Amino acid sequence: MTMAKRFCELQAHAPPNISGWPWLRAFRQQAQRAFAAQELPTLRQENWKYTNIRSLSETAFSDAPPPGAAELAQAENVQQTQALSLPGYRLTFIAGHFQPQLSQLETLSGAARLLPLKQAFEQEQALVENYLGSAMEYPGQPFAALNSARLEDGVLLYLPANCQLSQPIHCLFYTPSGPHSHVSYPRLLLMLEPGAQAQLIEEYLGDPVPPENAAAQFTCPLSEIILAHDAHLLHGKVLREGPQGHHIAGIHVSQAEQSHLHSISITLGGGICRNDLQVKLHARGAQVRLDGLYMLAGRQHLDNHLRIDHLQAGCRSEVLYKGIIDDRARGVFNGLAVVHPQAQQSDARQINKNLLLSENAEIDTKPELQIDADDVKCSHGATVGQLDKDALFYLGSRGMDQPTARALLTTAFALETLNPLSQGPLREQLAALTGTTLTRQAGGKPPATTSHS
Amino acid sequence: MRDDNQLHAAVVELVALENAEIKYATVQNWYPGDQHGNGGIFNFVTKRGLCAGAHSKISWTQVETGSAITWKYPSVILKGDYSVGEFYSVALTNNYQQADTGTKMTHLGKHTRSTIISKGISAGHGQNSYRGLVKVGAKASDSRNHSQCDSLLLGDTCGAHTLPYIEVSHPMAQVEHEATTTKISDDQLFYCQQRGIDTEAAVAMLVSGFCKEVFHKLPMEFAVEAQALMEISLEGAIG
Amino acid sequence: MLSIRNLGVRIDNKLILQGINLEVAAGEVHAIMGPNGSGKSTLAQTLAGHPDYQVSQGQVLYQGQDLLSLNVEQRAAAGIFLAFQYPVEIPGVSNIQFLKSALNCQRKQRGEPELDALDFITDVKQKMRQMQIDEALLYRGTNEGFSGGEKKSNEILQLLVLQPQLAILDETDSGLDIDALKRVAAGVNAFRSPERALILVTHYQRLLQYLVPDRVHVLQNGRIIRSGGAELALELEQQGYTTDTPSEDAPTQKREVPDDNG
Repeated sequence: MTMAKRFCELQAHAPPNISGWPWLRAFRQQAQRAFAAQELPTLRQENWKYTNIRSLSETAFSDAPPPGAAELAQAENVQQTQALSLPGYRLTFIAGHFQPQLSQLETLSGAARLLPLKQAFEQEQALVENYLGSAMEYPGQPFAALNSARLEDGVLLYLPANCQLSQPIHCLFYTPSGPHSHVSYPRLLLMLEPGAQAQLIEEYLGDPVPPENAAAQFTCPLSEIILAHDAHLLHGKVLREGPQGHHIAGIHVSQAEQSHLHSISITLGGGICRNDLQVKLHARGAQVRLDGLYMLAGRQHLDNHLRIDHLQAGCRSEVLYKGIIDDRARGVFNGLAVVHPQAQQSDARQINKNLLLSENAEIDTKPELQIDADDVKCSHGATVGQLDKDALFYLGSRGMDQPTARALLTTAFALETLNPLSQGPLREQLAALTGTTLTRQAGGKPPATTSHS
Repeated sequence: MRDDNQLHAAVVELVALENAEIKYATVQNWYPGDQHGNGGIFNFVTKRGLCAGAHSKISWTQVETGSAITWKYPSVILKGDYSVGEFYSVALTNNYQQADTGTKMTHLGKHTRSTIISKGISAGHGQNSYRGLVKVGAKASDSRNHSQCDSLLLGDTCGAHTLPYIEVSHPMAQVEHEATTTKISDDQLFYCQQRGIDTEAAVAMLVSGFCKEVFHKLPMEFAVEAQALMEISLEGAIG
Repeated sequence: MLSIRNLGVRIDNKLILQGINLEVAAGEVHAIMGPNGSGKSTLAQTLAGHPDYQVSQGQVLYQGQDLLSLNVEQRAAAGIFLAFQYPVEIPGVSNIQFLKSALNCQRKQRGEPELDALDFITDVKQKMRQMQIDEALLYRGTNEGFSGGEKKSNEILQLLVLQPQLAILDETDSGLDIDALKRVAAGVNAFRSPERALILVTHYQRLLQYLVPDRVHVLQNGRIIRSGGAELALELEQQGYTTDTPSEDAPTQKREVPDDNG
């Protein structure tokens, strides 16, 4: 395949500053071998049954060069007008390259570290070497291998025991549009030692109105999250690439006893997008809550693949993913809960709900359970449908016109995924973004109406 | 001879024209092999139905307690407008039995309806999978599906797997899928025992309660037989 | 009929009951009262044979035989009935099917023949009328979706149909309105006879207005701290459980005793 072949060619002239460290070179070479050993996924593979990446694999993406003055100005504009505006720390990247002048970083006290990964290679080699690759797996994850083989920069967060960051960390990845197809491989490495707490938001932004000749862009990020005993992390991901912005991401999580992850994933724009979220609950009392919201329009394609492994007894997982799909867009949801034989008293719940707004929209959902222990409480549900007719009627009977009633119910449908977030700037801004996207969707054309009643 | 496996590979095809209705019920208790998993039937069956005419209906009901391995996915293509497809299934695996069963409901016509109720019971080293597809085509406006897939685990060496595929490409479709996996609760068991019902009878009663929605769909004399079969197949499942 | 001697009970290795002594003769009604967490439900569950409760010491004789050596269903067949505080829902198993199964299993254990189906249903329906329970409840899943009052009435219906010797009612009065309470009490009174005994586990005195006890025992911190006649219940109602007690190791009711879920 083109991508695999081209990748191998590119590998011949990897940047010298990286190949300088033998351990990193070895890490990348091993990942390269793992990548080369796998075929690029096709529709014939169960895990990629609904997502065709042929157009991606046939595009010659080259490594994104450092941004020029025009891109820098555009990035600044996007950051001010489009991006989330959160208090706290910010790391901004343009096509994978860290931009100190657009970032807000300060040295954390004590042993805590927050810095660009490239800088960490130099300054925190022991930390990186110790943890890089420890929460991920290559088999069945070719893009995790690809990221590992090509990684150059990204984010390192290390919090020592009981270190609790009160301010969120905002990681902004901006992909400029242009006439050439570029690829970037951001890598995030997050380690929280016992009792540590943090909030980290990954935001991927493209140009809201790309020029006519815009070529396809590709972002292939991988986040590794390692939560020690009683560590708490709120992890957000906001995906708003342009229609030419393709995105295949992995988030691989390893959780220890009593640790707690709350992940909120919001996708509002992009071309072909895929999120592989893999959580391993390694010890008793680990808890994970995965919430997701996707609002797809145009010809967007989004594939959310979740896998939660209950490896030991007494862990809990809860999934709520909701989608609103319009135009010719297509949504794919696959949620798999695996309860391993020794994982008694597991509690795994999963819900996926979808609204289809157009004749040409499609949703393919597959909530799976794989249970090999008997003392468990597991359930899943999936629905595809329309707004509740009784609720619409009720609102109508109180004098509300149909568009208003629909907007109200659609908003309520979407915002349920934000309910577990505590009040604050993050929740407010995600709710505002959701509202804007809904208005734009509703403004384009009248909502689908019933042909019969 | 009984250490060998035998293959059973049947094909059943149903076609229902306008206003026609077909109910097809199966109770399967082929030899499941011995308690170590030696021998038994490989029950690989193709069953499919076509609701060709408007207002036609095909209903599959099955109780699968036998065979070493069962692969069986009775399906319905809902081509006629207002046609109805149903699938009601109980699959029980004990010892080393494997059942991989489910259905395909393909909604092509308008106002088509399908219902799926699947109850899987695993005991011993038994493995039970529900594998199904609900597909709503681009022209199947106002179509509906409801699926309920429940698994019951007896003991900690068995497994239950639920793999539902849902593909919808019409905005005026309603598809609902629910699944649960549980064991018989200690509280239920204690309650029955306190009323004087011994463990084996209590488990049989609770399992038959779990399957009730499906047994109701069987003809009366079949239902009685199915119930008796379940009890035999469950023998030795509770230590 | 029932003789409890120096009974001690643990759950998860925590001591919930200790040194319990109780004599219940045929025909008698005993009330066990006490604050939440005092061990009342533990006593009820232990007598019924719940596997979570480990008897750490003492013995229990029931009609002269060692009760603790019997398993749950053997105790039921021997005539011990527990009306649950929270009756379990059993979806898919209809109330009538459940009752019939229970009755026939008990009869089988006692070496009696199965009951004639028609006699059985006639008997059940007559008792449902007596309890003012809607007949439709017979064909619904056992306790499934029943209201709190329906569940409690259903427990008493089972009591009347199964005809045990010793009935233990665990907080059967809680959550009932006054009419339902009267119906439940009437049902229990219909069950009473000189051959049968009754143990009422309750937090409040109000059920005892309708079912006058011969003896009242106060359970606190896992021990019986007082026993008396029916007047003791009234006294407790007026003064609460906090009044000074003869037991020197229980100066107040605030002691660390794990909640027995009762």
